[in-house]
Amino acid sequence: MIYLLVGLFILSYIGAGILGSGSSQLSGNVAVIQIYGTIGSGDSWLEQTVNPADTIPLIERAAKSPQIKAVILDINSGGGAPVASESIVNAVKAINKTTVAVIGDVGASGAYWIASATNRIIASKFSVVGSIGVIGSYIDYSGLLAKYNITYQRFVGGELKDIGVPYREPTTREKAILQARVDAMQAQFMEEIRLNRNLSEWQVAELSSALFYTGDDAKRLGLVDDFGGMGTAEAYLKKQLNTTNIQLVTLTNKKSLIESLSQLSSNWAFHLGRGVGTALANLKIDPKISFGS
Amino acid sequence: MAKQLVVKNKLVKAKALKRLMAFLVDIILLNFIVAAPFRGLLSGMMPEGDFSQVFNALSSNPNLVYQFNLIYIIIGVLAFIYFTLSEYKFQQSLGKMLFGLYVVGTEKRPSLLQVAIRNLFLVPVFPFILLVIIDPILLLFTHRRLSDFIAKTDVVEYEKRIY
Repeated sequence: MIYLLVGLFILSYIGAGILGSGSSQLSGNVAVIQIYGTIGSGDSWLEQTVNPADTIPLIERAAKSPQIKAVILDINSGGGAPVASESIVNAVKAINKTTVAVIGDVGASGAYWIASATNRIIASKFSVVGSIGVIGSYIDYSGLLAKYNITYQRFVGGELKDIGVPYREPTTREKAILQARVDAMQAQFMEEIRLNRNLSEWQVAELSSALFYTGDDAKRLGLVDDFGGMGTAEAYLKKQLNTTNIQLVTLTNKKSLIESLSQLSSNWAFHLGRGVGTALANLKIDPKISFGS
Repeated sequence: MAKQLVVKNKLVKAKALKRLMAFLVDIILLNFIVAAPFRGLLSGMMPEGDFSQVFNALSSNPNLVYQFNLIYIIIGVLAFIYFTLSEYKFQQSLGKMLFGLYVVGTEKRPSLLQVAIRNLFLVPVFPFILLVIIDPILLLFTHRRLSDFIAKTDVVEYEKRIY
């Protein structure tokens, strides 16, 4: 009889474990969605990325799930592409539940925009927060091309069609147009943050430099509500949801075995290549050694 | 004063109340052994609110209902395994042991098929789920469950005679 009871207990635990891992939405009432890496619409083998195509379904799943009462965005990102950021912001705004952003090491630019769409922003005193600005810079290769006698043959239909190509120096007019576009995007970005965070004029004026901030400055400027981490978020949610039962469940996109193996091998190859590269860079070559006679 | 001698020598049909008490003991036991590991999952799934809010949440989420059903079927099957194996091996579950009850078949000791049939009411799928309603009613009036009639089994106890 004892063996039977022990066997049943083990079977139950295995069954509960399989069901719990099979459906992460089952095991908690607060969804945690990670925003780690550069925000953009593409995937990279070499670094973590936040792709809206992956992230938005997770946000929607948390929003629709009846057992999920609140959503925590676990942010560690320096931002990225504005359109990708905006689509995630819109998905976060559509959540009809309490939302909290917990900023880790970095929550800057587009990542901060996403954080600003939540009800509460929690960050460490050492988190890098802010950098609310737009970069439109690029490298001008025209000098390099000229050095090697490579010329850019320009054939355009429309005077400004090739504005911003890196093979020639931009004209004064083009520079003015590009800067005006960047300024317009910056103004739009600031307005979004101002509305999300209900910022005052003086705060907006200070933030418009697009500087990043840490700790007290970020709080003084209205970028952060509380200092802390996940524990602070849990305490806030307990109060907001009027419950003592907060169970976090991290929503992730499940990768197929092939995808996991592919990522593993590409990471391995990257680190191997970096190791070889570092070793070669540190190699001291004896100048006396020469190849050939 | 003469010493009383208690002799248990005659098998009689078990009383319905004793069977109910034994079943309650088994259910409490299964609650700790089988259902406990699923408690975290179930509490995480259960929508909060009053009855209508819970009903609305469940009716708008068929996937959640499916997962609830899956958990209840697994718990039911594990309970079925417990009763079937213990009654086949010992002719008793733990609750029946406490109340001195035995499961008997036509050949005295019930076969595995017989105890399996008499415990099918634990598996929460149609048509076995109907036995959950029919069995207690029949037990009340005939002192035997429908499952016992079908499996040709019965639950008995030793009659105590005091001399």
